[in-house]
Amino acid sequence: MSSATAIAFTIESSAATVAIPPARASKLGPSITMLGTLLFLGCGPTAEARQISPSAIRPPVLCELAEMRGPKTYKPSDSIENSIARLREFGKYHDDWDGNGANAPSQDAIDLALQFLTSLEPWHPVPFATMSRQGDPVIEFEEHSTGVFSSIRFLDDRSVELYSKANKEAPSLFVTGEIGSPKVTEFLATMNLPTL
Amino acid sequence: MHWEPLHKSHSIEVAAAAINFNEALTEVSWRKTVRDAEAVCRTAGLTEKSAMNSVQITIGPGGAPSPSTPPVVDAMVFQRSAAVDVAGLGMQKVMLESFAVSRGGLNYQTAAYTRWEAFYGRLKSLMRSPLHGALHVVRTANLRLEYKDSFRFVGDGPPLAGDLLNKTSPLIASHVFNNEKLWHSHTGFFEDADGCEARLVQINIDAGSASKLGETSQFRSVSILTAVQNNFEQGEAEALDNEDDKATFQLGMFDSLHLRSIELFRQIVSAEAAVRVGIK
Repeated sequence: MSSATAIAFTIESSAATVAIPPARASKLGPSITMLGTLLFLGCGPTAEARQISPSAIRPPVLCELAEMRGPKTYKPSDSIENSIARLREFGKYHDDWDGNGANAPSQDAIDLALQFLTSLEPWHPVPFATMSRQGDPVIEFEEHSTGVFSSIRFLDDRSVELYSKANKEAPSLFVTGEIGSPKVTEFLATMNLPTL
Repeated sequence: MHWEPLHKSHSIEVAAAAINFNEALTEVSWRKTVRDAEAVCRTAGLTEKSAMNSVQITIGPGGAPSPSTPPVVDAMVFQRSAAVDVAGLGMQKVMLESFAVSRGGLNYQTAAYTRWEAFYGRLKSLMRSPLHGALHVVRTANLRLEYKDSFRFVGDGPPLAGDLLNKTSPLIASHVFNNEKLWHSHTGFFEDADGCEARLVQINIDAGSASKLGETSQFRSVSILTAVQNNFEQGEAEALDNEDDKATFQLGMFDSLHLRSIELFRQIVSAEAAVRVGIK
């Protein structure tokens, strides 16, 4: 299995569908275009609502901010997409979701796990999302090329349990702590994962 | 179905939330707001910074341009980017999240949307402190939430939007459903809503041709921009006693904007597409 996890899917739009006329976009630098947005955002809406009709409203924020984002669309790798989809689904589970007394997940923990998935880059190990019977979302990483297995268990008090095993013979390593604490940050680095 | 959402479990390409003030922050209060934002952004991983400048052109006596004045910083933007691997082009940088603090308001947007609860939690954690500070000196004029959803046509037949969109929706121009060429369908209106003077709704649907970066072949895409904005009457947002209560009230209102957006989106897409993106 490859260690690349965030193979990009980027789309470059060539359509006549953007709200900003191409001529204007080519004449104005991003900062100037953004300024237009900011001026728009800063307009008194009460006055706008009274003075102009909906059809006369200037382009929505996202159309103008597209100038700053550029033409690339972010789409993570299939493994990240699958993990996001699984976590979204887990988030809908109730108590006893396995028919054997399992706990419903903590929504905050699910959100933290989702946030973490969006921080994975192409050079990070491939993730797989699952959930413990206690209702804690878990993201596992298994690198078949090196034999390294590691996992992050997200708890509902903004702390995590980290586990890593370099190979079958190697000792199992654990760390538990608050997100952002030095020991968690250091352990994530040894797991070749981004910090939380 | 020949239309695929951008992501496996949803179709949101970008989401944005903005709080706009009724007047510009002064230099001192804007700097304070930027400092507040910098602290929360650093913790949240939005560590890249960029300034957005405005250009001032001064006309001197007789209409002659006078020496140019230095650009004025109108907004600070805190960002988080990601590297993505594009076939044939190698690693490319893509912006994932940004939080802009301008003199006229606060604006958060993300291209890494996963679900509402995560977005809303992030929005509140980023905006609360700078909003609280700003509300000491300005009032909020409006709150705005925008979604841009994206679908891609796959298959051999004509890329007709009638297979993706709700043909009976009053929010879509009737000519688009069987139109094989490119088209726009933009509409907007005001409606009543709790807690504000008026709510503005905008629905912009666009068909376009797109291509993957590094490839020449093109495919049809349809983007759906849904914007919901609560406008406050002057003084309306002043009913609460302190800035903390005001910030809590205003941030809490985004939940109702989201619910209205979902309702609108259900009216726009076909039942099949709604199931595909998990809203039915």
